[in-house]
Amino acid sequence: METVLSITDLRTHFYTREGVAKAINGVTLCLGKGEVLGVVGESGCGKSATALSILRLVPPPGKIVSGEIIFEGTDLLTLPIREMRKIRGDRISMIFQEPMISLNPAFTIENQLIEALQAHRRLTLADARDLAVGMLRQVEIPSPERRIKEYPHQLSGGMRQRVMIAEAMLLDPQILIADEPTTALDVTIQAQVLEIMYRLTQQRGTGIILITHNLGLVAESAQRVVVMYAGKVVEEGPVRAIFEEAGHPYTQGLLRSVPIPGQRRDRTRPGLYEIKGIVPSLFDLPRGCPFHPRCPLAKDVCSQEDPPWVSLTGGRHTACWLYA
Amino acid sequence: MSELLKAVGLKKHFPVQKRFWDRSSVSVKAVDGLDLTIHTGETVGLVGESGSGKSTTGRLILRLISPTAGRIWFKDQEITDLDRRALRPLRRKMQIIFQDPYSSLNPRMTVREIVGEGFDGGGRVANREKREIILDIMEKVGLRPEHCNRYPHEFSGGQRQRIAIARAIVLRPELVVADEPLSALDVSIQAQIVNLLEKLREEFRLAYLFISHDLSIVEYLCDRVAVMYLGKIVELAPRDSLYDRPAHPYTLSLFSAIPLPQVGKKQQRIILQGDIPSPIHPPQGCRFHPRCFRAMEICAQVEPVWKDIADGHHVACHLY
Repeated sequence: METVLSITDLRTHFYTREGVAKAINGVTLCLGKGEVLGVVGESGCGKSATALSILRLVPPPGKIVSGEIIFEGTDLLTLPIREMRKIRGDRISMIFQEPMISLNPAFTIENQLIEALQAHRRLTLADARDLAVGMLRQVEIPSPERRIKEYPHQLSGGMRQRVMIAEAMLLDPQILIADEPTTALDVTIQAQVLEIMYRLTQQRGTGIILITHNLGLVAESAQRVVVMYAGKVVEEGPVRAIFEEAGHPYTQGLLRSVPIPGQRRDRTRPGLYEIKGIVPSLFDLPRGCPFHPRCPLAKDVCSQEDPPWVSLTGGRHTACWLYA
Repeated sequence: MSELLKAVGLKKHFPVQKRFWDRSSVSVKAVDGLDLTIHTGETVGLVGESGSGKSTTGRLILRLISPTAGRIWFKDQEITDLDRRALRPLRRKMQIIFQDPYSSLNPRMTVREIVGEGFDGGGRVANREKREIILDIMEKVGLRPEHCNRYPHEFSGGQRQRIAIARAIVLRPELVVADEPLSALDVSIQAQIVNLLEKLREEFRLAYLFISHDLSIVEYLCDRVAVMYLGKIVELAPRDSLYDRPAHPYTLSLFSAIPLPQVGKKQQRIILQGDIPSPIHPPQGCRFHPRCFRAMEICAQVEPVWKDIADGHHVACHLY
């Protein structure tokens, strides 16, 4: 499969008064054409920071310190900002968790969609409007010609998220980065929004980087998955291979913590599987493997040296001393 | 099992005033006719989406707010109209854990002060016995003695939720309303807190009203489950019965909407059309009918009756 995005050894640090938070601490991953790549992890693992780094939208005091992000033959990290602006929204788009924050409350939907279109293409107002209404229809907004003139607060959460998808897909990007796109939505609305997102991207061959903590979303729709922990990738590979037999103890623990359908509390059996402890502070990461303090299978070397990146069967890769 | 809490015909309408001079009686019908019983030692799950009224229900049964209509009993005592003074002695018996561990703890109080606040007066722990009770409860929830003098901001979300749990159970309540206690927590921490809640339930013979939108955790943890939609309970059944044989079309769509962490098991998903209607103007007849994939003519006209369809499995739907 053709690779459309390739990230190599990315490091993004946040320089704060309390110290340096190594939000991304050596991340390598790639996205194939038209593929859905799931990026999973819990708080502080660096998944959102990775998305922002791709688009070079890391807010201060954050800074991309090193690494390479190759897209369409160019390293995005070396591009001048005006070139980067041409890519954002046009070749690589992003949708966020809270549509109320990403849509400007002071402007109509029409205004915002047209602004996005005219920033990247030479179009008359009438043509831009037609395209925008057409896109709203594609994301199943009822009476789009009327609703396009409304303000974000007049729409429900699910509708706002669909408007976000419309805006992101307007220019037919190669890649859509979806950062927790449905976390803030009710579960029945989530199903609706995801169905629309996948239909549109499949029609156009758009690749998706799906950032989420919801393993179910990844299992259902992603072809490959990357598991992150404390700023590093701990495991990556085909979704089926990893869900059926995770290599890294953190992935194993994560999969076991989520009750599967039919799993019901029973006095004769122990409770839900727990990964003991909490995620480390990004200001004070442990030496060696960041997961070792919580790992039930940790060995001496784990607390001393960074684990190697190893290949496992089924296309899986993991950073773990168990397999070295 | 004895009845711990009983609510009949509960309603809570919040008036909406669009303009200062507006005297119209438009209101948000957050809870609009609800019957619920909770028995000693049982965990009742309450599931639903935005606008379902589940959080309002939790606050109503604890009498944190007053009902617009209906009656509530705690054990044999009617608490519907009790004033604050009369409610105070009951407060020890009924407690709440909130969703957001970041805003539910006073940032200017130490852990010891927070957990000890419910004792008479709160403030400094002068009494030796009180101190020991607090330390004991902290150990039970997985906190250490040295945490006593720290402030909430020094803890992670999961630890703060443990503090909130300690605060809720230190006075040995009989009923605890847990309002989305896991939503703000990471997946691996959720498992820790679920196990803790269960351990405490057994040890202290607690009853929980577990309010959540997470159907997998509810399946795991609860004895009976109620499904709410727009202010009413549409289905209520023992857990096994609900999850093995869901009856109401809304319950079916809820279950179908959950993405399962298992590859290759993607079922035909029921996608509901439209958005959740506003609780200010709920639809006529059955509230779910505009989005219901099994709707019939009668559904738009007549509200369905609450029926027992099998062994304590209740549903309000014209299909039955």
